[in-house]
Amino acid sequence: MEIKKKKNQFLISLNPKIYPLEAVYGACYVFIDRAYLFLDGNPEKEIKVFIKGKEELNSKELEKIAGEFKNELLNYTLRLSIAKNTRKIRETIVERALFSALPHQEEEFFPEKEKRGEKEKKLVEEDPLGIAIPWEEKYGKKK
Amino acid sequence: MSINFNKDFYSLEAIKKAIQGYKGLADFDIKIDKKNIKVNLKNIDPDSKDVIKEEFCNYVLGLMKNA
Repeated sequence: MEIKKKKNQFLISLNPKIYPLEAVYGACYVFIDRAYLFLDGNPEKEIKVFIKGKEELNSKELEKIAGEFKNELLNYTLRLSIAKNTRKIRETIVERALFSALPHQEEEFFPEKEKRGEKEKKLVEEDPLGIAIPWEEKYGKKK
Repeated sequence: MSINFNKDFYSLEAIKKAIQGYKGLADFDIKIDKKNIKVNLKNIDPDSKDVIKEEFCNYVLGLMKNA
């Protein structure tokens, strides 16, 4: 990362292999209300971000904005990386949530569940332990 | 006044949308070459003459984020 300062503006040169373009857009968006931003360069080799203060800024204020911009870039880069790494699990969670909202279709996608239900039904009907027989009938005194 | 937008960073769609938003402040004209989208501004509203270029660039960039 290289920073060149001029009066009330500076230029940051970024390596797109470290900072993806999407992260650069995100960081720029955060500063849109505080500064004027312009992108140029080559997205494969070098991304140039021109940042100009909306108001007249002294050297200290410019440095502060540059530092905050760099932090925001890192923030967005990390967020993108986490989003990329957890994409599959997030998709699975959403898919599962949508499937459970459709009870009829669930049997179609999870046939084992249906089989298990049938087995349970059969067991209840057969009642091998005699659980369904009333206590009086099973252990009560014979009249 | 003209602005050269690098095609690798700015889309024509975003620029056209931004022009729609700024059409009351100037007359816009677009020219496209191999690398850039050149936007020419004429008859700029006198009140916004000093900031229109930078504000327009910011507006296009904001649209790129949402694209």
